[in-house]
Amino acid sequence: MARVTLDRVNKIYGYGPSAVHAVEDLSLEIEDGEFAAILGPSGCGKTSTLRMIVGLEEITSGTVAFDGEPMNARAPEQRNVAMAFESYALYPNFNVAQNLAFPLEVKGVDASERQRRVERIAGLLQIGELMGRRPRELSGGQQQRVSLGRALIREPAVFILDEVLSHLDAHLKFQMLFELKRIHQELERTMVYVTHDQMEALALADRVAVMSNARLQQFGDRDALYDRPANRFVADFIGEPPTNFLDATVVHDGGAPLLHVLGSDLRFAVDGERAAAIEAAQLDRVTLGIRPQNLTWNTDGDTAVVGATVDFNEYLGEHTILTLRDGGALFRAIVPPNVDAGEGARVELHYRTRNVMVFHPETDEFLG
Amino acid sequence: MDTNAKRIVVWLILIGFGIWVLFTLFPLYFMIITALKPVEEINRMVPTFWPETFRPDNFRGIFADPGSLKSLIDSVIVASANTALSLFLGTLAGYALARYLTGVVGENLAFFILSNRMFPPVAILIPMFFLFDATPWGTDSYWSLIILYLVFNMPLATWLMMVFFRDTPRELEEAAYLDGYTPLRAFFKVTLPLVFPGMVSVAMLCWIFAWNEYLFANLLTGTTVKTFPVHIPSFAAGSQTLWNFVMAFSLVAMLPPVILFIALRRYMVRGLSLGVVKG
Repeated sequence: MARVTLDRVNKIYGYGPSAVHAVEDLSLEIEDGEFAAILGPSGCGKTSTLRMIVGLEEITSGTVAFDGEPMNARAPEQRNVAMAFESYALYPNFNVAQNLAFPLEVKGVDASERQRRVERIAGLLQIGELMGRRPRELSGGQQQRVSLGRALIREPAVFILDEVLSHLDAHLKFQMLFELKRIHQELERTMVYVTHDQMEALALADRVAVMSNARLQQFGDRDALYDRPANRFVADFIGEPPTNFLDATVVHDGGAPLLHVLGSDLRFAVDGERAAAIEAAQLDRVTLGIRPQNLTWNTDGDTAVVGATVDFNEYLGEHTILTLRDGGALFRAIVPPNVDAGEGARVELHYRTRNVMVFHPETDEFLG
Repeated sequence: MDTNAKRIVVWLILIGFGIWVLFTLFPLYFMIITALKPVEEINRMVPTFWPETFRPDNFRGIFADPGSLKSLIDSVIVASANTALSLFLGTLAGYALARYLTGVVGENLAFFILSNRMFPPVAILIPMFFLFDATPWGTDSYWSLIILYLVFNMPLATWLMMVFFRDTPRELEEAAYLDGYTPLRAFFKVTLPLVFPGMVSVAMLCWIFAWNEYLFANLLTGTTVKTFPVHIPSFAAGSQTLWNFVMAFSLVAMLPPVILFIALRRYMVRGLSLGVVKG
């Protein structure tokens, strides 16, 4: 069990003009027993980060510490970390049972104890009937489970899971998400889950570190990422479909500022907190962000209204995504599946003023 | 095409193959029958295609010369020692090239190593003679041939092993590190077993090259050390060439590689197809 601390960690590949700064000044503190996820698009530095945590990649500068103890100089085999690889990395000439037992064998655990723990982990992952098979005789999903099992069989300080669900089909993925969550609750160990899939990250992790362009954008729980994204990137990356961003001018209509979307008649009201933030920043132009989920068809009264024309209606069974237009502004809203909103219809949508996010138009930072 | 035309094409192809098989097998057949003939029958103007007199004693006759057995033993020593050395160095070098020298430097170095096999061997014949003449053991020794054949076998071994190592996923070693193995132990326990069939193929190729090599062996050695290809011309001493002895001895010399091939064919097939199919 360990608290994982990254303190101004940098990773630079290569030298001179061809050098690539893969991870820039990354500071992160993952609590003991926490399930943390590192989320970001490919090439954002998340894999380099986790490879530095486990010791497969040299740390250019900064410190990686477990429970306050620096790990930089320790080889991977001295760090007591277990990792499940995206490519499974099962030993092809061992069968499943031997693969699972391998980490214990290396550690010198005696045979009966090995046997006991292999059986326990096999039960946990429901791979008991595969014990005698070689990795190449297994399906992708089965290999995935075995690979997870090999990581989980030890009692390491930290578990690292690298894109472990990315090769599974949707059905198995959901099942494994649940399993992972359950395993984490059972083992109560620090887990770091690396993925490019926001759904996996949000479903599993207590807190998610969102990375982009070698930098940490935000490290926070679901609510923070949804409601108080650090910047436009996070607001855009988290949530499906992505947040609507609209350029707007700030109009002072009496007291409270209104956001007038450029090239359209759309006007969004903001709540007091955001109004104060806009005032404080002294901006007359901002980027407005509103999630499609927060533009609703029905209202419970405490909402404001915008009107727009339906450009496109995507019926998806569970809900319908409307692409709406007003003048030059395009945005999307998620509405109930059965709404009567054919293409070209004029509709009204409701939103809560506190769900209108405001970003700085140049720095893309979250203002409130 | 109708069935008749199809059948004719199939037959033509089969006949073509048949001729080709005869063409390749005939020399071997002729070797075998010549080895069994008495020398008078060989020198006849119209050759016989089936021996009139069988002389299996030829196979005993070749070993009347004690040099015959010694030459085979010398060949085994040179080929085996060279193969062991080529494989050892080639495996380590190939691993380093595959894992640690992955950039431009590594590519160029790997190509340079392979390019050592591209010049005609005869180009270095004379320099090599003087080079080995200057060594304490002189030209006529096991060491000269064992080391000289590295010039040809090590690049081959290095290059092939590099390709095999590149095809083994690095994550396997990384997984082993995280499970508690040191890099050296991971190399021996995890990676090496995966490339083992490849190593067998490489060993076979190296061994056969060293076994059959004549040019350098003839120039550098011949008295203290005499490999079998150098020994064969001794059956042509004087005015008469004992073709039956030449053929009998050649057949005996063919046996070790053939036996090795058959014994190791399981690995050979897997080794030569490593990297073709990713597992």
